[in-house]
Amino acid sequence: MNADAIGSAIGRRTRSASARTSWATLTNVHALRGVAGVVGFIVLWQLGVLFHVPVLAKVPTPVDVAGAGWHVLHDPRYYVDWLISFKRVFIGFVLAQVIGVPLGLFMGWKAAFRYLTFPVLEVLRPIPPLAWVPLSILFWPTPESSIVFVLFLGAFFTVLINTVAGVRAIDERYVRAAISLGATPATVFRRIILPGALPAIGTGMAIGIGITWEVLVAAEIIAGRNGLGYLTWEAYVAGAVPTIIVGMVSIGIAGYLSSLLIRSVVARAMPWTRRT
Amino acid sequence: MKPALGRLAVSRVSKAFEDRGGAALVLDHCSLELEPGTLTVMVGPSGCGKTTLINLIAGYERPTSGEILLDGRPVNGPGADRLVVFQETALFPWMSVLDNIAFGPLARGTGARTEVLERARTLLGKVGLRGFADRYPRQLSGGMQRRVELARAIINEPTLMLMDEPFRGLDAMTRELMQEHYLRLFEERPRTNLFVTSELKEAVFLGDRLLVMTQKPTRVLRAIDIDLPRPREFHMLTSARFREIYEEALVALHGDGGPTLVRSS
Repeated sequence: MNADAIGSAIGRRTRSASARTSWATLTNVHALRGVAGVVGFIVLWQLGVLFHVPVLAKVPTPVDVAGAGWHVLHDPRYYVDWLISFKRVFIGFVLAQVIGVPLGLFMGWKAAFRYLTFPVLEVLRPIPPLAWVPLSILFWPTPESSIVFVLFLGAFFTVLINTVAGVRAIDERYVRAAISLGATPATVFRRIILPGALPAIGTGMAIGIGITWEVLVAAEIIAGRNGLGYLTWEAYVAGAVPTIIVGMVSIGIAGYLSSLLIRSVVARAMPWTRRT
Repeated sequence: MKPALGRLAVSRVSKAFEDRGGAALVLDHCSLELEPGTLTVMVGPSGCGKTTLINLIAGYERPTSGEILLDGRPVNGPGADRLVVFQETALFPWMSVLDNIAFGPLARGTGARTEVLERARTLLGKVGLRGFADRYPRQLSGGMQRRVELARAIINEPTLMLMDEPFRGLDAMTRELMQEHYLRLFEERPRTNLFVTSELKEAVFLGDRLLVMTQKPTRVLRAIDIDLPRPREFHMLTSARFREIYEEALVALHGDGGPTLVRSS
């Protein structure tokens, strides 16, 4: 090994060691701040209701919500709701990837195909998933398929647009270099286009999963049988305000967990983007 | 030992680019010939058509007129027999250093995977990066990345290597290190090299022959043979013969009173 290599190897080791210690402390500090934020939010909410802050007049207190939550937690149907909502979101999301990612890759790669398909997709894209609800009820045979379809739409366009942009952002030098080195178009696609677009695909996935959860309540109102979205709606119909909030918080937590999962899967698939 | 293959003949090549209100002529009936196994260095005013010429020989672009022959066969597109090492590295960020080097042979299906990886490892050692096989390019310094790039080209045993200012932007010490690695690889296994640089000292130190190019539209102004012995060593930089050749090249590049410089608009 020469001096250049040794020097930078040593530099890297010390840098990553110090990075590790500070990272651990930082994570603790970040986690503590997070907990403090949640506690602070709940306290402000409780005080706001107690002191009759105008906007919060009809809002149940966190204590009421905790009571309703305790009740809901003892109802086995609640866990079925979780499973059912997760299943719907999962199916809608996976379908959006299975169709959106290959379509986006191909649109990004072949300009002719992009010009052919782009106008249609650009008109369909701004239509919010909720505007699809009436048509999807008429269009799909079962309520379940309507729900999954609306969830699918929520993630589909985000993933598609991000994938197309990801392919187009790949530096021409990489493609040129690969062709020079004797790569066939299939090899260029598999080893340059696909990994090159992966960071953008990952971003699309993380945003897309969030949107599917956002759309969930509306989608489950269509079917009106079960799910976390339906739980929220049913509580409203029954006038059980604390339970509405239990449903909302459940959806929030479910969405957050899904994003965490997606992010960690995506990061695992792209070891070259790691900082250390 | 000089190889039998690697004779490049560029004959009367012109290249014009569409420009606002007409065509801009970058190369004008440019001709040059490279002998198999020699290292030819090209210098010229910045902004002249050196990179264009490299792109034409690599097959990325087609000449407006004229012909480029490698061992008698016309150049019609990019190919692994003519590899370019650019000043900006084009290492694939998503592949480890080793996978980057092994990319060419594996993509063309020449050799079994284990054998190719073994050769890649050997080459990595030769450019002083043993132990960096599993790193990703962004984890390496600029100089290290360019050595990986060099290895990634050489493993394909191209008949012609096109070096387009490959050491530009490196600090002086790293640059000397790169020159050393590059010379060692070339002298161990000479193949035809065309090396573009804007550093005249580097040009004379590395090359067997020096081509001084004119302003746009570019042609070869002068060819100077560099008869310094090989292997080249850094102490030659202070030899009398080096100085003679260097000054001859300087005069060719800038003209006696520097009229070429003054004329540039």
